Order: sequence, then C-alpha cells, then structure tokens
Amino acid sequence: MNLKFEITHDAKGDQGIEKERYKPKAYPPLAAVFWSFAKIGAFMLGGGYAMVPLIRGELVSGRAWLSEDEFAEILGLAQTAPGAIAVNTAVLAGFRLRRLAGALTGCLGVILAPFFIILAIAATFARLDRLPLFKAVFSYVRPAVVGLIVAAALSMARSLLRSWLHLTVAGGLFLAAVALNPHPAVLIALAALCGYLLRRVLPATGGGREDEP
Amino acid sequence: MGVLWSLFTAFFTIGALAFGGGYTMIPLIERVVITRHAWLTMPQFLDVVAIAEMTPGPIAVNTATFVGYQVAGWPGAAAATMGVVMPSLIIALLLAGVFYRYRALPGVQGAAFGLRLAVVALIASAAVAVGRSALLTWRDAAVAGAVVALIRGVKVHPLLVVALAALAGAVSYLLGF
Repeated sequence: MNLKFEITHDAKGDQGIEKERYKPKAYPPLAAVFWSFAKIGAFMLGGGYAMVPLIRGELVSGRAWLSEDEFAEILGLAQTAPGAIAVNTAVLAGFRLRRLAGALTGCLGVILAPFFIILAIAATFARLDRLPLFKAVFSYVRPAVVGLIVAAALSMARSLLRSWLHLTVAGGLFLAAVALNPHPAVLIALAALCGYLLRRVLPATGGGREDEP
Repeated sequence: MGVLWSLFTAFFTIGALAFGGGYTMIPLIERVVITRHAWLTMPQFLDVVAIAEMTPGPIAVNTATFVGYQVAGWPGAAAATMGVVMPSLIIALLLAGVFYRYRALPGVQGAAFGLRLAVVALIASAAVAVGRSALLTWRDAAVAGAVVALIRGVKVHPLLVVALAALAGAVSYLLGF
C-alpha cells in the first residue's frame, strides 16, 4: 500500500508511544474536488450502489486521489452512518482529501445537479417517468449500471483480495450477504470487529503487511 | 417561516434515522410526509418516488427537494434538502475525524482490514441483487456484458458509459425498436 505515514514522537509521554498521523496521498484543489463530485451527482442514475463505480472511476482510477484500500474503507464507513450513502461517501472522501473544507465541498458538489434538476421538474410538472423516450433511455441505463457495478466489484476484488485468506473471508461474507441479506451496516460492523479482534489476538507477526492481521 | 422550519426538521429526522440509504429510506419518508404532515397524498408520493428514481442523485435527497418545492416553493426545496443532508454531514464528519485520527493504531488497522473485505462482499452481492432485478431480457444481459467488457478491457470512464447507455436508449427509441 502506498500510503505515507508521518511518525511523530509524543514529547510528553515518556513511554515512547508513537503517534502516527495518517496523511492523504493527494491534496487536490477544492475546485477540482467540487467538479469531480458535481459530475458524480449529475450522472448518478439508478440509485443505491449505482454510485459506487462512478465515485471509484472518478477518485480512484481516474484522478488517483485515493488508493483502492482507502476507497473501500470510505464506502464501508459511509454505510454505517444514516442518510443517503452517496452523500456520506462524498463527505468522507472530501474529508480525506481536504479535511472540513473538502467534506463541505464534496457534499455540496454531489447534491448540486440533482437539486436543480428536481427543482426544474417540480416547477414545470414535467412527467419524465411517463415519457416513452425516458422509458427507452432507462431500459439501457439500468442494465449498463449493473455492468458497471459488476466491473467495479471485479476490480475491487482483484486489488483488495491479496491472499487466500482474504479470498476465503470475503467469499464467506459474500455468501452470507446473498443468502441472509443482512443490513449492510451489521455485516460491516461484524467484519470490522472480527478484524479488530484478530489483530488483538494475533499482533503483527512481522512478515505481513503493516496494515493487515 | 413555520413551514420552512417544519420541512427542515421533518427531513432532518429522516436523514438522521434512515439507515442503509436508497429504498430503505422510502418507508420513513412516507410516514413523515403522508401520515404525519399530510404534505402529499399517496398517489402524489408514488409519482415523486418514480421521478426521483429517474433523475440523477440520491433518492432521499431528490424526494426531499421535490416535496419541499410542492409545499413551499424553492425556499421549501432548499430547507428540505438541507434538512435531509445535515445529519449525514454531521455524522460522517465525526466518523471521518475519529477514523483518520486513530487510523494508524493496530486495532483500527485490523478493523479497517475487516471492513474492506466486507465492502468487497457487499458490492459483489449488490451486483447479484441488481442483476436479478434489472437483467430481465437477453438484450439487458448483452448491455451489461458489453459494459463489463468495455470497462475491464478499454478502461472507459464509468461516467461516459452512463452517457453512452442513455444515448443508445434515446437512439433506439427514435429509430423505433
């Protein structure tokens, strides 16, 4: 993982506790953050997980502002908070890039286009959903969104599942998610707890990655 | 002012209590908008949800904007939208602040590891779930397959894929098939 750690020793604590500050790998201008999230908001058709490939395409594979690991963490955290997941993701990713200003910018960017589009529709009483043209458009957009989510799942699995252990655990969680249909926040919280306990019981043995049990 | 405040607080409640995003928020919105405040009738509400589905953006935010406009014009739309977004902003900011402050601790690293695996599993299961509901014909399956090939093979930007799919739908309608 190509993350930079800035290690500073706490002068007051004589136990030598290392206080590591987790720094973002990119520091993009706020205008660029805003533009990225405005595009995501404008193209976010289909609801729910449809935004995952769009945000990933913009922030991970497009701009390379976030690593694949960071993006997955942000998505996971976004689902443990209430509210629209796209807004939560924009706030978390914005914060990761530019702290408070980035969070506000990301949030504003992602709701900008939807807000004005709905305002225009509400003001003109345009019934887009009843127009045959829009039905035809959506008959192509809907399966395309499925393809985008499948492609995102494949890319993320490829870069995040780096060993047989990862593959087995993620495969088990996948089967549990499909069969039991648990609330996403529950699955995430349980997996995070297991990761935490694993790390507690089996502290870093020295050989593996810094970031994994 | 009274109406704007009640729009703001009603949608703030929705934003703060609806966990899971997307369609899981609809029943709560329905209860607040129809049962408690009688801002819309049931048929109107169903229309709003249908429109929110077909326009870009999170469904909860779109519904808030629409209902706000119906009740009190554009100031109402702004009040309701701010209300539904505010809890996300506050809670996600707190989460981000705590997570990145302690991200380097071994325990938090372990938790982040578990979280990442769960996210991969959830997105894969979402692909299965939306596939089941959206791939109804051979043409749907062909479009989805072409998109996967396009993204994996040529590395096309997902935003461009959405635009192309919309264009293909419009062209197919205009050509009459």
